Amino acid sequence: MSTAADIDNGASGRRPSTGATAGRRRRTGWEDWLPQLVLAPAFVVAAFFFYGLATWIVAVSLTPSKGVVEWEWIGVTQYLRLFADAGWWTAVGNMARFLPIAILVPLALGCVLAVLLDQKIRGEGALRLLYLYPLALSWIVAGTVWRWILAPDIGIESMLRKLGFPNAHFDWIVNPEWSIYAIALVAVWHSTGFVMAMFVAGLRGIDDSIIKAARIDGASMPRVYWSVVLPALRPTVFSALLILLPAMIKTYDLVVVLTQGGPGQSSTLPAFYMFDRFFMREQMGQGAAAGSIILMTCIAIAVPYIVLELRRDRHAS
Amino acid sequence: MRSSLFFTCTCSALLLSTANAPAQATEQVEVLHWWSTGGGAAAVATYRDALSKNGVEWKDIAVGGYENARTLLRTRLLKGDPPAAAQIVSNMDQFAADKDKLGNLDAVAKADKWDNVLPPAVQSYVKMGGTHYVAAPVDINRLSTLFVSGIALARIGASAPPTTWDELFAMSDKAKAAGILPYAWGNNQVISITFQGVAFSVMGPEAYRKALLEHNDAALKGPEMLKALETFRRLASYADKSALTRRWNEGTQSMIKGETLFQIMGDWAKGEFLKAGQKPGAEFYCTPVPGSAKTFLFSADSLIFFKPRKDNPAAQATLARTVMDVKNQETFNLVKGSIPARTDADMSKFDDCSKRSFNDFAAASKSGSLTPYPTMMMPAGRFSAMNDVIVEFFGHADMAPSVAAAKLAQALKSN
Repeated sequence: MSTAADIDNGASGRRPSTGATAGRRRRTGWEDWLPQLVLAPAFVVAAFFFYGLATWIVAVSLTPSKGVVEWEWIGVTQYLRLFADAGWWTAVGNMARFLPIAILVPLALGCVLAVLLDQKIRGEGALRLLYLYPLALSWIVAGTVWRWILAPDIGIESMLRKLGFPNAHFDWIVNPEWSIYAIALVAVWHSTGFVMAMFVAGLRGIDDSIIKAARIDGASMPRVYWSVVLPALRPTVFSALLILLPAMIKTYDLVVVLTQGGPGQSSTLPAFYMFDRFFMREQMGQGAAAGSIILMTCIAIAVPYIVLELRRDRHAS
Repeated sequence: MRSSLFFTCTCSALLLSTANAPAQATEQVEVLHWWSTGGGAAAVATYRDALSKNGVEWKDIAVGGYENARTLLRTRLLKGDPPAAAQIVSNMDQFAADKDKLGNLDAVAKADKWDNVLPPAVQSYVKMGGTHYVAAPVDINRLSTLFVSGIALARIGASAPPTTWDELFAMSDKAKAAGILPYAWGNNQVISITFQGVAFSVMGPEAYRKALLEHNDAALKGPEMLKALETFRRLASYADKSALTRRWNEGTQSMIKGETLFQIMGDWAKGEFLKAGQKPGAEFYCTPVPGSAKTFLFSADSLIFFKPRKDNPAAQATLARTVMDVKNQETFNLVKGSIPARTDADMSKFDDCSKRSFNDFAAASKSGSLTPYPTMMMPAGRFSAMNDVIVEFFGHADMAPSVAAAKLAQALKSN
């Protein structure tokens, strides 16, 4: 939205200079429409693929659709069925346990790694690549490898036992109480490198002279990071949050490759639940109802943030 | 990743439908299926060749994976642009919401006497409402097959696969003592297939059908069901800690190495053994699940016919005739590793597993004990609700069989 405003300002700012020469009115008119023309395709795509399909999902959630879509209005029956389904509440409860870990841990870890990496050490490029690699691996490959690593009989547990800890215990992936944390663990592994890369970029944007000034004032290096550098990284934290949050809320593939929701239904997440009902179980209406709830949750989180950002923009200009 | 695959499929479907526009010289029919890799793809090629000899071009829409193919088919139906034919193996109703879009194969079936060569149980699957042929069955998979690792069998000093549950459990104990995993337990899918195999053989076709296909309350809570759940529980007690993390093929691989003894699985597991160069009757055995020797729990891959936008009934009839031709079906199944759906097929070129399977198939169809796998006869949601109960029962050793039976009845009726 802010980009649209920028372009608009730019165009109107140019208008006096181009419009100054008489007899060029046609070109001026064309240029007036340029921003709208340039933005139109993006608008159409967004209107159809986001707003159109979101509306479609909400509409389907109000129908009795099972295997195929049937356009018959039955009100909120599907929502009532959804709320009466214990499986849905398992998925929601799992999300409540999964989300804080999958967001806060990568943020903290990524920040620490970035600070450590920022000490102008040798081989920084190679290290950064190493931390970023998880992002480049396909979930099918990474998920399968992690499934094996976490399996007690061939993974970490058996390795520890062979190393001489006969009582070593690490069975998260097959333990109904802990399986969701196994998924959170892999999610953390996946996004930490990415968050770190964002923080490294943020750190590079901070003027060296500020740090030097703080050092001259007698601040220790940890103190400099805590009181000077980290506050300056606020925008980076927000960007990282805004990317991590939706990515984690829609976590689906991770569940499929790691546990398929098991043991039992102990590690399902709302997005997995939605796909399962919509496509696999031929309960499209109920799946769409779950999708609508997820969408509304995301909107409830995103709208205050966007409003806040817009306000800040206005104050700045 | 599945959703991204789905988008790729949808996009390619869009592309395909636009690429269709230029006029074609030869007649062609679009066939949507998920025989996209290995034996399946090679088997489809035999059908494609046979069809082109009959003057019709088989236009392939091969989609990786059953779910993706199902999703694409549903998308095409939603757009009102169905393919000429599509592979199905689950409940047909979900694709038949719009009856006007369905094809009708009655004329071909009558001319080629399908009624005489297809067992009634198979007929009732491919006939809409039990009257009109709308699909052609091309293969049969036996879901009540017990695979036995020959290597593991030799290691516990046994010479033949078990024929009763007592024998099976005795061998399991020996295997456990010898450090061999008795049963290839795995994720929810493996648990589900195992339960159906155990229930079918312990309950017998009659009670099994009444309970799980007709949802008869007395049968669902009857002594046969309790016995089945007890047997299942006993088999479950041999599961190792990591069982749930494994997929069916990882279990099969472990059997190939001789580290696991048994697995109940469909015929597709045979492909894994054959690929590893193992021979039936030596390095591995496929035998009916104990107690189901002359009975048969089957799933039938079928091609369901639609009325596509560019309607061409003649070409579609040729397609139906080609895939149902007995010689073509033999070739197809020989390559794919399953057995023909026609009871008049010549099995002389097949391996021992398939021969035995086919004999039992023919015998079961005569005696009326040929039973369809539940997914073929009920909505996916109901089958999944049943699985939820089974998986819960598997995970909770303290859940009484009678409690599980009551939950099963509840799940089957409310979904």
